[in-house]
Amino acid sequence: MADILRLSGIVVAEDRLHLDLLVPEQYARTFFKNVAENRKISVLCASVFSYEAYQVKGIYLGFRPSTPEEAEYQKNYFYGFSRSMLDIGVKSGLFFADYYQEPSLAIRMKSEEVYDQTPKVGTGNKIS
Amino acid sequence: MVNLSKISEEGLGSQSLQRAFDGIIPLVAGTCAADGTPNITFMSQFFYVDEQHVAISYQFMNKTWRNLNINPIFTTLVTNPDTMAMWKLKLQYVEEQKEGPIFEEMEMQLMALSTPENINFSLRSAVICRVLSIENVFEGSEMP
Repeated sequence: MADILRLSGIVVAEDRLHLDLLVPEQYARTFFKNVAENRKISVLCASVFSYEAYQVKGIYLGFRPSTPEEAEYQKNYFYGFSRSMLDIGVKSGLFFADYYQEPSLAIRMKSEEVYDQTPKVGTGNKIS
Repeated sequence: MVNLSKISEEGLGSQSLQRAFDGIIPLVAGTCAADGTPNITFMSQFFYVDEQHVAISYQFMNKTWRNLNINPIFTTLVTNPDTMAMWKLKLQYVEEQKEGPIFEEMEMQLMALSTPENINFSLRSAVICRVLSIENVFEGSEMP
């Protein structure tokens, strides 16, 4: 059975093949139990303005503690996300910043396939 | 098995969960293919059916639909738009309904969400699911 983990940031490596998935450690316990049995993972990302969305499917490689720069990156992500929610009229978006908790982790993933996931008829096409 | 009416007796928690079903923030659903590859997608609507069942909207979920017919147990993440509280619900696919009161009510709600410049919210079917468990992921906050 698939599990779901809400991320607090994604960093794409220079090789455009690897990703670091940033997440507070407290939310990731089930994730580590699952990848011990099955290393296949998928990531969904979307624009709250346009609904444009993409799914990356790949393999879990490992994890490490987030760096101070990555911690700052996650705080900035939540600030930006909260502002975006406000822009579309969701005032409570500000509360989302509390989701971020330290310590946080960087989960390394190797991308294998990318799919268009924008909600529309015929969505789900493989892009690469 | 979780009794949703019992959850509703718990007060704020249940009302908060019901509010997460309103579709303001799309739910996320994660299913699993036969080879273990996960698939994750947004869904527009989550509909309360009875004490132990909910319905999700079948609109664009080609891969999700194939996975549900292989692995009927899956996970959804729902968010309350007032507090940002989040829950993970483990669900089991039971049946697909293409007509009847649940389908009609869901179709009407989706039409209300649709605008000319917005995405197409037409409903193919109501996917009826049994609720296996509910886990609070993030408590969120209340407006002062």
